[in-house]
Amino acid sequence: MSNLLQAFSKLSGFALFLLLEVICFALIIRFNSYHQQVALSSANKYMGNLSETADEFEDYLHLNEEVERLRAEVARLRTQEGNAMYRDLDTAYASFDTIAQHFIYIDADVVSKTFLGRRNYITLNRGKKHGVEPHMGVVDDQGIVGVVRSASNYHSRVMTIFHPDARISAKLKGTGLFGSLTWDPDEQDYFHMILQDIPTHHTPSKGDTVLTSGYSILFPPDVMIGKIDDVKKESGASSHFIKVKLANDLRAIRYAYAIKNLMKNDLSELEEE
Amino acid sequence: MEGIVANVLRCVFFYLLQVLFLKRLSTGFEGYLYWNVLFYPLFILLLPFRTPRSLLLLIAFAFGLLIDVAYDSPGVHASALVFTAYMRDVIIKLDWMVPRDGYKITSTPTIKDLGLPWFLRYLSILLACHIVFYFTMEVFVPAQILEILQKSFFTYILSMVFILIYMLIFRPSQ
Repeated sequence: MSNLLQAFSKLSGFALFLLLEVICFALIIRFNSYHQQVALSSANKYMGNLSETADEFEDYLHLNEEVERLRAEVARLRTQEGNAMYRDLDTAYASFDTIAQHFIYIDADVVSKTFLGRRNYITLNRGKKHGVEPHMGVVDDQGIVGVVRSASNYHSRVMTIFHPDARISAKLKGTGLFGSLTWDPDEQDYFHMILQDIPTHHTPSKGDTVLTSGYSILFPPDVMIGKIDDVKKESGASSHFIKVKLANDLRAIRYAYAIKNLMKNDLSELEEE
Repeated sequence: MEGIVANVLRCVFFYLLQVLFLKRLSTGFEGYLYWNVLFYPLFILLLPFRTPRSLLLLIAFAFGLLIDVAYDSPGVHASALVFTAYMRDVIIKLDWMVPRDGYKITSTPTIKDLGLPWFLRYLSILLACHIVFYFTMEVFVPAQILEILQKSFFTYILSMVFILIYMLIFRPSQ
């Protein structure tokens, strides 16, 4: 016992104080049921918080993977949408498949983009190996992006809608009217495009929705393009001059979907005849 | 030697007073208990200045555990009393607590040796330390700070009154 006391007395005052407090604390938690409960429940609470934080952090680390997975999921779901299908509701031909896959979405990362001059291109990290070929339409989750110009094995180059050669077949929602959508390279306006060839017998109003027409092989029908911002009727002209506000902001694009048209050959055979 | 005997006797007396009398005072009422008289810290406060620091801490620990046995709360009183004993050394070395000509080796922290104003400062600070620490340990949930402060407040006033009455009547000199 005296040895123990001697050992204690050699400790500095503060160390002994801490040691005794730790002993007291252990006694409190060990032998008082109320304190034991408090200690256990707060330990649970803090450990719970801690593991939640760790979990969130881990989620953050896996964010890229998750985005990729979700993008693939979006591509799969859009492939199943009605406008990606070929439908034949005529019962006379019921012996054929009445619903066939028409369009397939291929998800892709935008790996480079420049929006500076008259001809704007972006590069996707999907190529021939993934089924991307020239003359495929490209969309993102909000609107249209452009057309694939060339594809290597793992990458493809997309001519965006901000290009003097871009002509997108578009229609006014709720009417049968369609025209072609172009971009004026002199204005460098990355928010608007011009819709031409809408005949003057119909006067569209501001806010009307513009969708893809489905008459080209590039895009499925009814893909969102934007809303009408301004309508001008030039005297003597047979069509309106319509300014369309795009639904998406291409300069902020990070992901895109290339659209493979499975019936392209079918159509082109027909045109060759 | 005389001092040791006096302190041992005081220890026994304070223990019995706290456990047999004051404990019942604070458990005799129904409902929520805000007040409690903690008299026993005075024992640690009255130990002579020459008591070695580690011995002081060990005495406080042992005495606190004895109180805990009676209160059936192992560790709660002991932790508070160890804290008080540690703070005692800190407090008496503060600049504004040291008397002009320093402490005499043989002096004890009493009214007789150091005067009433000094003792009042000494007692009020250390008793506050003890009581707040005690209720923090008793309630044990720092978020219930309001409950801790309420209990501490009422207990502090009552304990102060009891201790001062004792000090003024018995005037312990060692």
